Amino acid sequence: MDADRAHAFVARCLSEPAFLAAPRADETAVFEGADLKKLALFAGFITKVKHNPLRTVLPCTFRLLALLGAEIDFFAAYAPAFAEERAQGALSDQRRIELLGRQLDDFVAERPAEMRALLRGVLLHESTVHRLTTTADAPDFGLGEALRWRGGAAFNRYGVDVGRACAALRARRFDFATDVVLREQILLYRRMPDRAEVAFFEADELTWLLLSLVDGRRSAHDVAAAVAALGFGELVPARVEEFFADAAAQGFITSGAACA
Amino acid sequence: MVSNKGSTSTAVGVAYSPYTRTLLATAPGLADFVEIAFEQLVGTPDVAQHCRETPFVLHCASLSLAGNVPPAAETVEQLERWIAETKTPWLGEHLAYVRADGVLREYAEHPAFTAGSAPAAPFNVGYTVSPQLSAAVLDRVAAALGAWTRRFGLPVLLENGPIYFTMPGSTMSQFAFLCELCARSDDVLLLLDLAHLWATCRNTGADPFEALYALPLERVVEVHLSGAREQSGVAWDDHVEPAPPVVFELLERLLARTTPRAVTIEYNWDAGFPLEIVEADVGRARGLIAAAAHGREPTWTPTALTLS
Repeated sequence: MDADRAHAFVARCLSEPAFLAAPRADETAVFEGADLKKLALFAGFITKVKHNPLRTVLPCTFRLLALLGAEIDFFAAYAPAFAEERAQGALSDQRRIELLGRQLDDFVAERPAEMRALLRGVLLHESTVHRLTTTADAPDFGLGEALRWRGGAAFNRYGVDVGRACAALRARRFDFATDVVLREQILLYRRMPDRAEVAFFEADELTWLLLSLVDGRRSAHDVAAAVAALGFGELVPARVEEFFADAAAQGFITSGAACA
Repeated sequence: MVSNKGSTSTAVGVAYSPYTRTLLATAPGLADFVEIAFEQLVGTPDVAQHCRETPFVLHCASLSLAGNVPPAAETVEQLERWIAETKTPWLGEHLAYVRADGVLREYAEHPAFTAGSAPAAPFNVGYTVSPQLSAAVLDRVAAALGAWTRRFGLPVLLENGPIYFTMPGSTMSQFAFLCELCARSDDVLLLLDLAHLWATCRNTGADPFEALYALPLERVVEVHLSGAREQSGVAWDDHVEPAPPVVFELLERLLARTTPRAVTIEYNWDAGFPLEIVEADVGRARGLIAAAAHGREPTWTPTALTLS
């Protein structure tokens, strides 16, 4: 095969991975001498390199894929979809993360439950932190006694101890035997107004329940009524209001009256 | 003319990454130069200001030396401007192609995927691809190297790319290709990437030390060090990880035989790369350079290294 023909064939496989991945009943002479499997892996490698700017946003996700020896396979599977999206125009970091998340869901579907929980959890954790870091504060319209978040906030539920796994991954001392702990975990993420840093901490069910009812409409009294209706009768309104007063003192919840 | 001849000292630099500014501020004198990609400067020209106290070496991935689609005139003009701006002593470029002529689209076509495609639109991989290793491509690369060297008025170093698969129609190894190219002209100078060399050898069944010794090492002006690792049955270049021991062993063997002008640590794919590892590996490279200088008689008349 002459050089230009070989280069054109390989360039098309790499720039349009869907062409490479398409099933063919009739292998034509043009494919003779080409290792299509390795070309697909190379397309994955190129796609991986094109995601390098996301490494600062998703360091633990990338490190975990590398430790699993799965980076190349993952990005090889992702290459056709990424090339198709990229052909439509430049992609924002947020869009790239969304697409990666979708691909990861497919990629882990056949993996053991432990790995599914870990990979999905680590990506969700890092993407949540990124989203809060890059999202502007919601305008505060001051709706009377209604409880409102200040800055940004989010909750995620995990099936694995994501905090522990990410701490080990960040420190580059991750050990699958000790740092993958399957358990229910709720993390509360919060970013103070006009600040870039996102803090997160583990919350229990009741804390999650109370804070998840903060919606800019309910007052502390309304929340107390709502949780009582859900069967938490022991939570008297005074305790609920005390809880939100404390949250207000920490600066991430506000209301016109209850938290004053 | 830059060359290896006369070189008695080797500068050590780092490839630009967003952490470089901090690195240079916290460890002044650590790096003798910063290697920066032309494509990075086009996208974010401000980065040149971040490191202006340190000499630059310019690297490039846009010339597509082995391809049949030359870079756009605008790209070449931008490159000339950055060569002048950075005062780079040479330009590093890959033994590779990036674009391929779309006139040949019909050779690679599949009916399901050609609808709506412009027949003459070139394929653009957006990444350097090791070319077919054949006499025809050798002629093309030799001609391109000569032409760009004349046009830019400075040496264009040829970097060995990593080989991950066999390009159809190849008739020789990459090492034979480079040896033949150097045999044709005394003006051919090399940028030897030792992680690429190791990966190529792993993927083609060659011995990396034999391959190293087979090359005309006196033509090596610059050396690249980076990570490399195997995954999915293939050895890959990896600038996210530190160089493995075998890469430093290759550097030690190379330094025992020749004195390149520069060694560049390329840990530039992760802006969060640990600075302490960069510092440690710069020190390790300097240690190997010093040890080699101590144990080897100068072959040529010493001249000063000038990087700016």
